[in-house]
Amino acid sequence: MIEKLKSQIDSIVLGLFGIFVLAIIPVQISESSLSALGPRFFPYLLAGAIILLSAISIIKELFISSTANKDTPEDLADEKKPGYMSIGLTFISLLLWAFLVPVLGFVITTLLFVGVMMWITGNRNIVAISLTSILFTAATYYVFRIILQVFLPEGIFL
Amino acid sequence: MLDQILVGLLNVFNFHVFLALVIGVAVGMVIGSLPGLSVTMGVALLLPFTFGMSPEAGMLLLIGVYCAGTYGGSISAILLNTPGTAASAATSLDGYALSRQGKAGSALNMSIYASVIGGLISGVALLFVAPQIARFALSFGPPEFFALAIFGLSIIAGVSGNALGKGLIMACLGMLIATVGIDSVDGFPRFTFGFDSLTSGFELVPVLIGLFAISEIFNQLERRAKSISGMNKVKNEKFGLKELKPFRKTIVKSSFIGVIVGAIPGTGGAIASFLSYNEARRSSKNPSEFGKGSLDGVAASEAGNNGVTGATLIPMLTLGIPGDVVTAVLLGSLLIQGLRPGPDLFVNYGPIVYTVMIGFLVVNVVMFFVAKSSIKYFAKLSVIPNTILLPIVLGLCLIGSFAVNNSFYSVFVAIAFGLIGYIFTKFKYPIAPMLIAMILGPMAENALRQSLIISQGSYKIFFQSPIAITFIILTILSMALPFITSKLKKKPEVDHVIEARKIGG
Repeated sequence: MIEKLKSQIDSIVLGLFGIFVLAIIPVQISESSLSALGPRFFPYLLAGAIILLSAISIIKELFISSTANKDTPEDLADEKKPGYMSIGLTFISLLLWAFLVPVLGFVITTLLFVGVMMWITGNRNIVAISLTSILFTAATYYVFRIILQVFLPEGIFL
Repeated sequence: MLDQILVGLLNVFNFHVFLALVIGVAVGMVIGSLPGLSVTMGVALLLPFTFGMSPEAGMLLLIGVYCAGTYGGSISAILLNTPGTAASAATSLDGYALSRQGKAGSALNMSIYASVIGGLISGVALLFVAPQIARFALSFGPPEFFALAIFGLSIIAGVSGNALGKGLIMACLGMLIATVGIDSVDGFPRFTFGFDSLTSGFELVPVLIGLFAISEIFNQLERRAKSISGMNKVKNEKFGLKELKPFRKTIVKSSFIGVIVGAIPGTGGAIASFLSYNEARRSSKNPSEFGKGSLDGVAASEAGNNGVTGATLIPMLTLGIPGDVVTAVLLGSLLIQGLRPGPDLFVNYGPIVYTVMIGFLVVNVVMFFVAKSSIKYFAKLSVIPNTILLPIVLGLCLIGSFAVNNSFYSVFVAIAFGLIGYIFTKFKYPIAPMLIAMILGPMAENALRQSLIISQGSYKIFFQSPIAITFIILTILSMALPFITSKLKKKPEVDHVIEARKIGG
């Protein structure tokens, strides 16, 4: 039973999310008396549907399915350990880019970002890292800023 | 009419007009393939360049950007799972799977053939039956839009594969996310939590970039894949008219779907491509192949979304009603040139109008040659090592998200949806239903509420329109038929077993 519940962690989380949405609707959305279906109707309907579908999935697994649910996160082949560290570092790098561009500027931040990302993905060739970072940053700056006239934050330099 | 067509043909091949057309196609293809740069942005950016041009050259420059940009979205959709435009999201479902199998060349070839044929069919519709299609399109009101949206949402069952429950949950989540912002019927904020940036809701492009591109990059990093195709060489694939022949029915049918949907103001390429994709899957002999690398899927989606391009010009030229944001910019271009769209346009400026319509057909032909000559270079992207490609693609995702409205809010949205998409795919939740629901959900909600305001709360309004009734019946049939068909297919097997037992005693 515990194993089956563990395999349904996604449905449980979604069901709780649906309940959370139901709870915050009265706070987040004012009701309107002007239309037959007010602005709360669809959010209520959708939150209810999410709760119902999650409940069906849990009940199916607990009472109907004879084997553990196969829809658990993919297991990777033993010979390759999953690159969760790379994912975590990439996520942090993405956030850092968004925070640092207004401060350092597009050119410096993007140069650093591409270089760091190439390092994270396993590239250790300093020449390739330098060339790719510089060429990519220059090309995107030229295309977006000069040709397409899209404003790119300048920060302390460019 | 024939003499005006001939005049139009002569004008198109005037040096300046043809040069503007070719430049538009080249620029459009680049803009369309870059995530975050929309066709609308491309058309709007080139609009000032048309001020000093003749009306024909100016319009064909912009139409070149429009058509090639719509096609260009499929290049990044196929190679990088990063649809350059929302209209190419359905293409990535099968196109990217083909890239992973080392068949990027076939997918790109199918994409260009289907796009061009879709564009040519919609161009012919524009030239010969524009007024009739415009009249049909104008008969769409809120009840018809609601029925169309529900029909469109029914395709979620198709794109969910075997995970229907999970697909439905994703669709509900997508529609819920689309409710964030100001309610367009009553004007009340919903789920803004006091943040100003949330009053405008979530823009589709950053969500697209996050759900498709960034989440796929996370997936690639987890798998430690060496390259997208896992190979170091592109398969040498021949793809000509012979290889195209088995898909002609899908392409033509999807093109017509694109024409009908495109002529209705307020719809667009994304809806047409998903409707075409679903129809192709429904009528296919091998529906289980869809989503795993079916060329039929690529053909349907691309023919559908390019079938929209000419059709959206129909209400714009005949009635002065823009079908979507791009045609609104094109309408602006016409007004700047001193041309007033509407029924009189064809009478007072016949040569210009026919030049534009013939030019539309020539744009698609030029697009074919430009794309065909570039395909083998594009296909090589799928074998570039991930240590070089992924950082570049991520960089483009970030810049593209920022470029949507020059705001870091969009960048954070893209990153957040990247994480959400990655987590959901880990638990085998399909992503496409969320995107479809985000596009169609608001249309369904607004149309439903507007219809009930018109009918003062009576649901009978949905059964008083032949068009709405047709779409409702189509929805019921498309959901019930696969179920009934599968039951009927099992029945002969059961009878067979019973007969065998009787004989055995």
